[in-house]
Amino acid sequence: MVLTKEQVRALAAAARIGITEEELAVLTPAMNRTGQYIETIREAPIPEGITEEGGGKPATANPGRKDQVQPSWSREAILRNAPQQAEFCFQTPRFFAE
Amino acid sequence: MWVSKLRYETVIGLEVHVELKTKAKLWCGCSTQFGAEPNTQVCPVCLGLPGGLPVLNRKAVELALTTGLALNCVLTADCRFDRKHYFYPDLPKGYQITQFYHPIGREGWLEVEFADGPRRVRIKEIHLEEEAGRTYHLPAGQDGGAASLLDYNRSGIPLLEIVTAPELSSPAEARLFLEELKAVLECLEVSDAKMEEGSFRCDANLSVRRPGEALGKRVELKNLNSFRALEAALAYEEERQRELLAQGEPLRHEEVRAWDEEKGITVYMREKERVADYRYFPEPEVPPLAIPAAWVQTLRRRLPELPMEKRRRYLEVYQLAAADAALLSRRKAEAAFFEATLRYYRGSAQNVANWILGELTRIMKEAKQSVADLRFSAEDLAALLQLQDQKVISGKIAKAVLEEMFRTGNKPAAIIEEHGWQQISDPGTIKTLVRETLAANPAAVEDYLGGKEKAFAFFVGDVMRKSKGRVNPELLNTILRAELGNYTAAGHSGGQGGHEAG
Amino acid sequence: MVIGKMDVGALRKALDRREISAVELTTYYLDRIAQLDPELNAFITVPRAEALRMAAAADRRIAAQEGVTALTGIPVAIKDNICTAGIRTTCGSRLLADFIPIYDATVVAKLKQAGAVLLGKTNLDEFAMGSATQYSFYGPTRNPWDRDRVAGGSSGGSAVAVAAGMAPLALGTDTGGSIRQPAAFCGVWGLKPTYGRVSRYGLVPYAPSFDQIGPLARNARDLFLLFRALAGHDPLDPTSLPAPAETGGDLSGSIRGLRVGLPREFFGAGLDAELKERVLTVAQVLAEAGCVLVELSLPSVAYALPAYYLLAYAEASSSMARYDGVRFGNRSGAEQGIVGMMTATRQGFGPEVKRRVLLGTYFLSADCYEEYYRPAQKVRAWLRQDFAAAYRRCDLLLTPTTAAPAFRFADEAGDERALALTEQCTVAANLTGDPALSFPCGRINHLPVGAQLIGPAGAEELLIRVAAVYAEKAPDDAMPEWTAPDVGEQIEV
Repeated sequence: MVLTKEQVRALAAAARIGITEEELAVLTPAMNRTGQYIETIREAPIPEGITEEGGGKPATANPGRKDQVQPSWSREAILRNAPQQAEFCFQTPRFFAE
Repeated sequence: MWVSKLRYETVIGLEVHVELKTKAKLWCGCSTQFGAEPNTQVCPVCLGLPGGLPVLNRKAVELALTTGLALNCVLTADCRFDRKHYFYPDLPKGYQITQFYHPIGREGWLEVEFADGPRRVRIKEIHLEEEAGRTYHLPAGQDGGAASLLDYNRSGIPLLEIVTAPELSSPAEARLFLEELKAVLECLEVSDAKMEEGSFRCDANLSVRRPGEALGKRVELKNLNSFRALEAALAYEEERQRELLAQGEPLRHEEVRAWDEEKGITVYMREKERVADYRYFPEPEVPPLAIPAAWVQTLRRRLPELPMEKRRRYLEVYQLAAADAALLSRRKAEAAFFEATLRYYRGSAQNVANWILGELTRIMKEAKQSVADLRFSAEDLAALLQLQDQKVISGKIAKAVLEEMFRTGNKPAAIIEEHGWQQISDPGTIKTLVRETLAANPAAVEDYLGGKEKAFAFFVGDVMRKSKGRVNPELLNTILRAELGNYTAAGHSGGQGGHEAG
Repeated sequence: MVIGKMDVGALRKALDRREISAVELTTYYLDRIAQLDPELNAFITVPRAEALRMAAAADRRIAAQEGVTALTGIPVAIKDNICTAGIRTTCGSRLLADFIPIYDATVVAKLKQAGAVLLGKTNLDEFAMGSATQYSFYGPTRNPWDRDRVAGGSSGGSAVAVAAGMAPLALGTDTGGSIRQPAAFCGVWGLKPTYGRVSRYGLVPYAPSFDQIGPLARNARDLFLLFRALAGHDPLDPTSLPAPAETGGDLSGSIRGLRVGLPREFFGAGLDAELKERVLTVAQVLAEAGCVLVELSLPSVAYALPAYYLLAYAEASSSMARYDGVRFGNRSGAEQGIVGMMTATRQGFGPEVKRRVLLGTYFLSADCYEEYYRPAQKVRAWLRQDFAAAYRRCDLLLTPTTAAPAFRFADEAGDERALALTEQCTVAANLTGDPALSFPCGRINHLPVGAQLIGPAGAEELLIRVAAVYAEKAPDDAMPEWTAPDVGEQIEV
């Protein structure tokens, strides 16, 4: 796996992460070093019969939860860390809904 | 040109989002109640605060499984979730927990009665996911620029997405399918399925083609907030695309368009991204929930009779009119009341259906109430209809009695007694009433004898007025005719003689 | 009475006998933090007044002899990616510099309930992404044994707090070795419990299928005591294990006849020769105590690190998606519209978070999913199978915790290979979810090093018991009662 600066720039845009040209110059080779390293995964001699299903999930059981309403947090608490608020809502620059 | 246009085929697929009827949200204990003050049904989990963790509400899974069974789906053996990533302010975690790799149900079908008969519409998949928050947009004001406001009460409410195969062939079919689906969901009691509250939403994909040719580019339609809007938007879009095809300018790109209710047109929103990369991967912190066969068996046993089955039964067993069978089978509470009434009523089932779908529905609608709110029982309704059949009361009085039953919950017999509404069927009493009327209105009698049939109605009205509508109308007709006949038989002179004598 | 030399058991006795009050004890540690931390930078936030209030409440409990637990009045330092209601929780990030959680993590609630005193919030790599506590927005944490060297990470602040005697106990978090590696570098004990044994509710996630909260302490008994206070089922955590049948023993059982596995993949090239000797000495001591040594092989381990990078970075890119400046955290670029605002806000991530999130974003892209992500999941499943097979041949595994002692800031910090070397011993247990313990096993020159014990799910007590026997037999190497030298007493290098 080798990424170009352009690809890294596109990834940053997709991840909504602002990066400067200087950062890009450092990040691209750093990412490619990891990229080179992880290539070995494709040659791993994984024994027959192993599926990824057992790998991706924690080995805990899930009993789920009953359908019971718990008290919600107070609105003051919910909005306490809001960078901007109005009318008991979180405020952002205007965007248009789909 | 219009001739060739008619030969185009339309292909429609629907994506329906259904809010499942749980008390608490999918991943936390916050209430799902509609209409609360903004951000009062929110906690660290559904607000996506750092450190909040999703704990699965089993009830949502149960409702999804029940729906899957009713839609004849192949159900998954364990319930797994995936993350779908996109940035949008109403999506608190920056990803939606959904089911991408393992939908809870696949390859189902729903039978729908179309114009040309019943047909199975294939369901591609149904999957569980979570709602996003709600956004209000503010225009620029005195104190600042335009802003958007976010309320996360809705965030995390369980949603079931139902995706059909693209095999609906007209806007009318799309509507019929959606109506049938809504009826099924209501019958299962898995959702309120209220379009006006957003708990039942539909996006539609439509494309057209010449027979035998490949499908044209698809257009996704949004903002379809009612059945009427769905059908109208699809009809508009169908015509637009046919026109384009006929002009040799087929669509180049898949696009998303919104229905403009006021103008009655679809409006271009955006081109569909080639393939939006949502970077799906298995939800790493929600372990699979095992779905034992016994659980599914229990749910299967609990499945109610579905609208289509009910309709068949109403047609076959009760011989209801087709339209009434269709209507009644889709209204669960009314249908139950209908059948309960029949347990006490010896008359025709159609009569009961007429009353429930007609007068009772009208009264309930006016009072904004439902069958559950009724203060009288099915047995009471049966008694009322029985009284009408026995001619104790007229149809008109029966309606008045029903209103009283609705208002007070009193028994029909008691209401009739209280108001003295028993029908007058004694010929002697009726004859006396008729003679009084005729004697008091000699001019009208004159008119009648002179050939003005209208006067007859006047006499009927007068007798009814005096008797407060209680006179048996058939008897009244007969007796009135007979009495008027006496006048004729006696000759004009008879009447005039009377005058002269006076 | 020298508080700095007392373990938690001794502090408990002193508190219960009123030889010292919780307020005095807390004041001692607060003063020590004030004295040492300007140099070491182990703490991001020290809520002095709050800590003293909690200590006073503990004193009342002790005086009334009501609800006194082993931890009542005992100060505990908390890694700053664990939510504390009313006390800012920065995760070492600029984005959360002013973030004050509205709720307590389950572990914090448990500690409060037990009457422990929250001493402060410890430094870490931003969002726990790092192995040296050098990627914190609040500056690097320094190793108390050599301030030119890293403390390890990402729980470096917690390890240093304990090592330098600024706290008797601390909570860390471990995603790829973030408790064990700094514990080894700083010469303290650190346990990564079985995945699901300690609630993650309120732990700010880095890679949630790996993350686990665990204790750091100066000896086996203290470590076990804190572990028992943390462990237990939590209905708020979907991955929480059911409560174990027994509470976990008391470290008193015999280790005679236990089979200790030595997996050769952990002793290969890249391992410091002296460190290898130290770990083999541990094996020897355990053999003398009656354990049976079993040499074995775990071929999947060779692929553990690439699998960890792939899966953990993928999860990290997802975990970090919520920091968009809409609901909490420091917002930037509001004048640039919604996309501009999110992008500018997230520009505030540090370089290591950016690197991991961008890599993770790439790994999860539709093109890479089949090629990289799925094979990595398979490797994870393979590791679980490999370890399960190993546990049929032995009761636990002994390995080094790191490949070498703590490295210098300057020359090795930016070198991924050096970092990889330090991570390769620890990540396997995060991939399998097994419990793993790091405990001191001597020094190389002036720098402490650690040995690691890994066991099957639920084996925490066994791991600590075995290490405790070693510590008893080799007290000089295991150094159970010391603290690192104070600032000002420079060590000869």
